[in-house]
Amino acid sequence: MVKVVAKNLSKVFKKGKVIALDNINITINNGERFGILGPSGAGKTTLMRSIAGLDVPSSGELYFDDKLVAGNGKLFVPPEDRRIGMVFQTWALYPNLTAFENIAFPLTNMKMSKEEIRKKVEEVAKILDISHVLSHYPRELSGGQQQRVSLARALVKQPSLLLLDEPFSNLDARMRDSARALVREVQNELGITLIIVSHDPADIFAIAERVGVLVKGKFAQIGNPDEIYNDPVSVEVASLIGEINELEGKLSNEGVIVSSFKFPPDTYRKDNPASEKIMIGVRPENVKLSKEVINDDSWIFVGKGKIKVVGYQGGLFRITVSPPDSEEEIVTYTDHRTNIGEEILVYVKKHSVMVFNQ
Amino acid sequence: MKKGTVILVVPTALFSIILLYLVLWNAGVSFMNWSLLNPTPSLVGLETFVSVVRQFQFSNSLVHSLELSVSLVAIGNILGILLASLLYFLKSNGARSIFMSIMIYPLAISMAVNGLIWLWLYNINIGIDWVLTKIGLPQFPWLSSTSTMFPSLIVVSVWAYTGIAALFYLAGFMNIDKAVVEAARLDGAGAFKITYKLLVPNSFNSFVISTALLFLFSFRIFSLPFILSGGTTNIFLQTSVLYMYYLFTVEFFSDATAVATIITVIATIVIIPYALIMIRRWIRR
Ligand SMILES: Nc1ncnc2c1ncn2[C@@H]1O[C@H](COP(=O)(O)OP(=O)(O)OP(=O)(O)O)[C@@H](O)[C@H]1O
Ligand SMILES: [Mg+2]
Repeated sequence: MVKVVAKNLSKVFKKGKVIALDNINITINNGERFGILGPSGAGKTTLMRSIAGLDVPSSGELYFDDKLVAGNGKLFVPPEDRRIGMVFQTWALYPNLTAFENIAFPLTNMKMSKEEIRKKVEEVAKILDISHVLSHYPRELSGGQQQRVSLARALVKQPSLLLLDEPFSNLDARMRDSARALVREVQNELGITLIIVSHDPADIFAIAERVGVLVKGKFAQIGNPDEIYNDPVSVEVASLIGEINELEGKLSNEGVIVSSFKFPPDTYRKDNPASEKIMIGVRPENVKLSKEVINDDSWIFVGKGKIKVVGYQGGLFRITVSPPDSEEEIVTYTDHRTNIGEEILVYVKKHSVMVFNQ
Repeated sequence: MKKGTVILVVPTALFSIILLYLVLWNAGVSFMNWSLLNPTPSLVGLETFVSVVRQFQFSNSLVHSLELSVSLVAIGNILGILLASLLYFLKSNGARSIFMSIMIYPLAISMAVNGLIWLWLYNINIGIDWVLTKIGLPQFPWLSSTSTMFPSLIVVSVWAYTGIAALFYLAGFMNIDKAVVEAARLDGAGAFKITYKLLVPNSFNSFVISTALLFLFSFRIFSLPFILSGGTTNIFLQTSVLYMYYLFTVEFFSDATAVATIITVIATIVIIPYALIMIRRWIRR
């Protein structure tokens, strides 16, 4: 229940040799679910730590609502006074304390009776379905339970801001889904501002209303997840938010040429190529492979390809196809088996190819 | 056997054989009655032990050794934790290394030198007392009174050996996941609470090592009481090792080895559980 505002926020390490955050400007609204996506080393953790007060920004200001909490290399409000619940990537549970004591820990630092603490801990444990393991030590808990304890510890003090730094990275795929649902549910119920860092776009789509893509310490793009998925500002952003085929091509008057593949103008999503060297991006779901000619206006033929690799993933075949005698690769998914070395017709969906001028 | 194993085994075996030979030789002599008065020793069983143990000086020095050990283990651990947590919460890594080096400095120089330094500091005319008089406080007798002599020795040994406890605790603290401490800060815990609720309970290894070392250092202490008391005969500062050496200098060889055997046995009995705990913990990893 707090608005977080960063103004020209920068953070450097090693006396300026490493620029982790480079003039960040962002407003995260009260009650918003904001996602941060970015490659490794982009500064995601540094941004979270700066918001939490664990790192002091080198320059620029950070406001909670209208209160200056850090500015120009100084901390005005220390982390313990920022009303923040944080779930660390490693969960950071207190190894010598039981799950109950872990969750109760923030409350013991407030003026609160034992009885009250017990009530609150049991309440939050019930919501998160960990009531039966409250007497266990962290090492006796499963990954999913540890994560819930960590979340419970962050929530029990009724923070106004919840920070999640890659909270699901240690969970298996099935646990992840329920964890995502849980986080959304809890946020919804409490209405707290939530910031989640992840490099898994699935987390972002499941949780965030708005996402900022952080690249080299700067927000390359901020918007809602669908918008960024469909209209990324660069190939890099495009690949961060979902799988994409990146192809380098040349502009001709018939379209973009990538070795023997030709992407005519009616495949372009919206931008018109302007430079001679072009980068194009095609999402796998916008590619179709077929042995016969497709008579459907919405699919556009780009060339004949040869199947290079066939994989199997999530109930679908993952096919890598290349123009004959070329190294360029296009990946797509189909539900029917194809054989390596087979020749196949490659189609892309109309108005689906992203064009990036270089 | 592999070449690497041979390279490791041969020196270890040699080392163990020499060590064992010395210990056994020492034990052997202690079952005899070899002394200045009796240059042709013969086996007398436990007779030497019985006569040594009956001596006033034996129990007196053993009590001193145990008192010193208990004090150093207790004070050293507490101060070590205190200093380590102060260092832990320092923001600058540079300052931390500097302070740490200062703390373990007494260990780097000879204990005899440390003893000499404190002999000067305890001098009633030029040392700490000089400062006390300057600021108008009464003098403290330190080594010149029989009742303050032994506490003065404890002070010096604490000064000399606390650094190593601090070092092990600091290493233990630094080993704890930094995120855990940061989480505690976000949870509103202060430095004091973080230390006693999280840092210390998660540094059990440091406690075991520092306790074992502090005990060994203090139980076999020699140079400090030797220098501070100016020899082996001051019964107010005489520790077991000093007494053993005294017996040797007056050529009661079997008596000296009997004391040495008793010291070795006590040290072994105290240290073995610690060694076992450590080995178990390492294996469990
Ligand atoms: N304490 C530090 N000292 C020096 N450099 C640091 C420090 N912390 C972070 N950096 C550097 O700052 C940059 C951003 O780091 P950060 O941890 O914020 O990245 P990230 O986006 O969280 O990456 P990842 O996805 O791998 O977690 C990196 O280049 C990193 O090496
Ligand atoms: Mg990170």
